[in-house]
Amino acid sequence: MKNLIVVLLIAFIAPTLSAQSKYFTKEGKISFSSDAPMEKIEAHNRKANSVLDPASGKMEWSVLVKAFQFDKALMQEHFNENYMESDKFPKAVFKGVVQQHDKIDWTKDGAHNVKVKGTLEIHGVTKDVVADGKITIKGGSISAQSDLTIAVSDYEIKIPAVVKDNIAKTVKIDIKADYAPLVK
Amino acid sequence: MSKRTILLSAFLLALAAAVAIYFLVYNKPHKDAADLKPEHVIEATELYAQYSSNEADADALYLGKMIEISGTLEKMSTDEAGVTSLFLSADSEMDNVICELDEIYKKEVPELKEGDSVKVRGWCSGSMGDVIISRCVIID
Repeated sequence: MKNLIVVLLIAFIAPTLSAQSKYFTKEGKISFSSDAPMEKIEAHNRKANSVLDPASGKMEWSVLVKAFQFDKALMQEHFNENYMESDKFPKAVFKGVVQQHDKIDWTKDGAHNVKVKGTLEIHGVTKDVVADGKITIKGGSISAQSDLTIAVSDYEIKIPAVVKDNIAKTVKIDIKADYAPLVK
Repeated sequence: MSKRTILLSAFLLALAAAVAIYFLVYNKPHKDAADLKPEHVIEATELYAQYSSNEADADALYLGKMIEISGTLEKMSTDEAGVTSLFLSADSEMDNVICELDEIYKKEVPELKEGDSVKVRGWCSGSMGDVIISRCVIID
């Protein structure tokens, strides 16, 4: 009888426990593209860190600027040296909260359209952002994706006058993470 | 040949050269780590230890630099785009020195297994817990 109670207790508590634990990934994907008149600029980062806490809805991302890969070596150089100044500002960080996260049943399979509100720090400048995204729960794992567009000038990234017309003033950022439970 | 023809040919030649140089610079390939001399040669565990004790100091030494790292392979992963990463042991429960391989390895995933000793060269991108090394090539 005692054993049965323990088993029942575990059966009831275990799913709630897993819903309380945090989720993380070390291999989140962030890519950005900007359609310039001259040529499309595109870069990929496959090593973004992200933590998601279903209980509080908190979501954090951090990424190393130098880990963005471009097809063209020259673009990568300019991106790091002239625009992002990645020696001075090696990281970009987003800290936010999934809005109405308490309406999501994190223990059940499903897809949810969400808004994530927070702050984005790029190039040493922090701005408020709101991103539309999608959270998918499937078989105990969680994935998230979003895209947002930011203005380069918001982050005090200076574009030299000579190339001004060749570089778009906004950048589209695509984000994707497949989270796994954080086991400590 | 008249003076004008000579001038014109010289001008056209210079123009062609300028265009060629422009395209060469604009499309210059990424540097291959295998052909360069590394600025630092270090064990993965030592690199991680330096980063975890003082990130700013470690960045001053390694950030953006081409380094050669030796270590023990703890895990290997290949993503949907075909990019392979080697997770080298850092003597830490959570963290690794993660070497993202150059896209030249997209065609061929290296034949390595857990526990293998590897030596790679790549560019240090910094640390977020894990230390990330980008565009790596396998030396040994």
